Amino acid sequence: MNIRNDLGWLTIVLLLLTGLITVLIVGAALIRTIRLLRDRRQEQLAAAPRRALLAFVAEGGEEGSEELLAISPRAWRAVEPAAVALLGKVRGDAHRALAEVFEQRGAARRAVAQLRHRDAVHRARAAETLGHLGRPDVIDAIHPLLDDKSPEVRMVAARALGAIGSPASAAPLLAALSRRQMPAHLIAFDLSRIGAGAVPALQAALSDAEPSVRATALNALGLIGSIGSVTAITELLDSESHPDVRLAALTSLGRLGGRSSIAPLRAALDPARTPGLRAAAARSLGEVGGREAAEVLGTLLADPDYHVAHEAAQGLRRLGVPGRRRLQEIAEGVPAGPGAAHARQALALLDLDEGGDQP
Amino acid sequence: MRLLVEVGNDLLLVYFVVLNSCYLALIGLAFVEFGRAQRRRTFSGTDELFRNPLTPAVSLLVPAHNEGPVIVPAVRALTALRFPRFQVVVIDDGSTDDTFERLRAGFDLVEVPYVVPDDVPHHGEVRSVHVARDSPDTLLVVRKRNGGKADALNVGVNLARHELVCMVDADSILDHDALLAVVKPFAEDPLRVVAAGGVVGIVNGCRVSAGRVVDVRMPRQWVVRIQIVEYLRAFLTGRTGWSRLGGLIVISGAFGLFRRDVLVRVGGMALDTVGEDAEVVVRLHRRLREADADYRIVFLPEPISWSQSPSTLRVLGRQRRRWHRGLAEVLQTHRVMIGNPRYGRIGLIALPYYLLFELIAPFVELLALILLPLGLLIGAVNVQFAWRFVLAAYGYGIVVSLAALILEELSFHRYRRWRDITWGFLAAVAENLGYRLLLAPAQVYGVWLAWRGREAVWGTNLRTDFEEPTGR
Repeated sequence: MNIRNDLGWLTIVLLLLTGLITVLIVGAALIRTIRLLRDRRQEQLAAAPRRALLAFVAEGGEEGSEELLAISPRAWRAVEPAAVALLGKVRGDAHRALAEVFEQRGAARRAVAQLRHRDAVHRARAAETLGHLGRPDVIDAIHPLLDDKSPEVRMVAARALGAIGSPASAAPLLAALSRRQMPAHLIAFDLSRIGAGAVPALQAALSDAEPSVRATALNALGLIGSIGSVTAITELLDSESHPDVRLAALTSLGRLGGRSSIAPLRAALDPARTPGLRAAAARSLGEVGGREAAEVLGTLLADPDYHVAHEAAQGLRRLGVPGRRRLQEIAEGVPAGPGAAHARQALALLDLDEGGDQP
Repeated sequence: MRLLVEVGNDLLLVYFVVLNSCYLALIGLAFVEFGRAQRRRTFSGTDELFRNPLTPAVSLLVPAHNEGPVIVPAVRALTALRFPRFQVVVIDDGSTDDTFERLRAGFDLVEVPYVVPDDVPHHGEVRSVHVARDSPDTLLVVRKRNGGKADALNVGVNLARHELVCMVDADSILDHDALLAVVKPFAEDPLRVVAAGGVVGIVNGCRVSAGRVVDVRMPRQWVVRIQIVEYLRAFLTGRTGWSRLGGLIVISGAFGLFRRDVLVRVGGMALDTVGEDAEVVVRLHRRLREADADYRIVFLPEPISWSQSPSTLRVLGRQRRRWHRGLAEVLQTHRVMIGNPRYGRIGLIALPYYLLFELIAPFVELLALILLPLGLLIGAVNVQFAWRFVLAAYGYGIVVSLAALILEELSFHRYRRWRDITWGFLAAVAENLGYRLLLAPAQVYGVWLAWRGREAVWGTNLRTDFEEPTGR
């Protein structure tokens, strides 16, 4: 059969395409109409409950709980996404009062039941709600989700545990890191939200065989501000060879500060180290501050690596009087040394910081 | 001769069917991806990302050449984005208009003796560096001798002090949370994600207020309406589909995020092409696959960068000539990858697709314009077959464009007015009835310029002020 002479099939194709185009246009109009009607209905249902919700939160949860409890289940379903989002944003008394309303409406009970739902989206939403509610008694139900087959559920579970802030969750979170390759920065933040209660588990994790666990523990200790961990971090730096872990240790020392941080940071500036680690050490020295740090940073301005010299100059910029003095010595040195350009840049920015370059 | 024309027409038929089927398949993949993203929106973790001090910081690089009318509101909108730590680096690439003067007046710029590193190469000499008096760490403006967009971006990469660099066009408006959304994959998969692209929308016709798009509308000009449908089909759904396949090779220069260390390692932006945005992504694929690295390059349909699009055929033709020239240069530079199993899906699927269905498409459109009448003239094709064939080819194209429109309506429904979706349907028809054919000569000329290796220059901007009312 010659396809060019048999026009029947082409006519059928044309008819099909015409039908398809019509269906698509009508379908789009229908989709829009249905969506608009549904949105309008939802809006009508949610309008009054939303006003009550906002008034309740604005009053710090002191008045209006009865009104929220009296909302019909249908209207509550319409406003629930906004209510859950609000629960995650408000703090203090308003949060406690709103969480109590959720409890009384059975939200916590429903969420716990949904943690085992076969659909990952339901499991994640349930964990998110429980995290916002901040109920320590449900952490045992959430811990298994750290091993969920869905990476999104695992992340939401970790976030929920961070929001609840129970020290008992620190070890499971750290364990999940190596077992499930969770994103280290997010887990470190979740661990830091647990606070001082997580420190013993984090210090123990510094000797974990897995580099990502050690790095995460270091980052979390830095965020928590665990000054008591400086010695442990310094000891770890002596023997640590993994670059990511070393970087996390140097960054944490910068966050934690204190005189005892200066020696290990200074050691990390050894020219034999990689430029990235040396730049991180210079940045951390700037955060630690003090006269001794200013001296070390001053010598780094002549470093052949731009980033090390730049971080050192910016570190001096943050140090106040000792930093300015050191920068001026280098900038005005005769003959101009190799670090003079970095010093002049930092001084110009420091003038702006201090409002000394007003027009 | 007769046989040749007959076979040619048959091949044309097959080509159009396969081309549109590929588009349809990509739209299908995008449908799955959009559905997934919509259901997960309520627990996306964006707020946590904003609060997390460990969220990677971003340097926004804004290359600018004669962007006077838009530069101040654009930079002001960028500095107001919702993100924990970022800086804006504007690179004035030898503007001959008042771009710099407007910036200086708008942000009270102060010149500082800045040390510029040379991590990646650039040609245009840096003349001066300026910072905003009241926020010296947030806004940096560098003036340099004209060297082209890629050259300007490389200076920006050198000056960027954060671990991620985001390339943004000076005429772009980013959604308020766009940066948070596009950084999310880097936070969630920090070891593997090296680059991410966000979708680019067309701002013409939209209502813009205080540096934000507040009402998305179709513009008056048909040439822009058609581009909106084209962007939905090719950029929004097409790139989402490619990303899902692990074969994304284009991240728009108007909104792309890269790990700075990886960008430096591959040498920054190529200075000898007008398609630097696609080239750098293909080069990343090439170098990382050659190093057996485990990496991801992703596209996000949610964060939007709104850009002005050409509103006349003349400017549109110049834009498409540049795009096609860029594509030709990229494929020529990385021809060793095409069909090469060493480069996985990029070498075996993505690059052959771009060669066969993007680069060659305008040639085929023009060939069809010759072959079909010729076939009719010499009696190789009968008239009844010819008109049905043409209608079927365009009909299939219309189905594809409509499918992309419906997907947008289902997922994001950004165009709220009924008349906008009506115009969208009409534009979907118009896109297939002549629009592509009109652009084909410019695209073919672009390939010719790539072949001749002419020097690349900035395209001419015909910007309008964002604060002027662009909607009705």
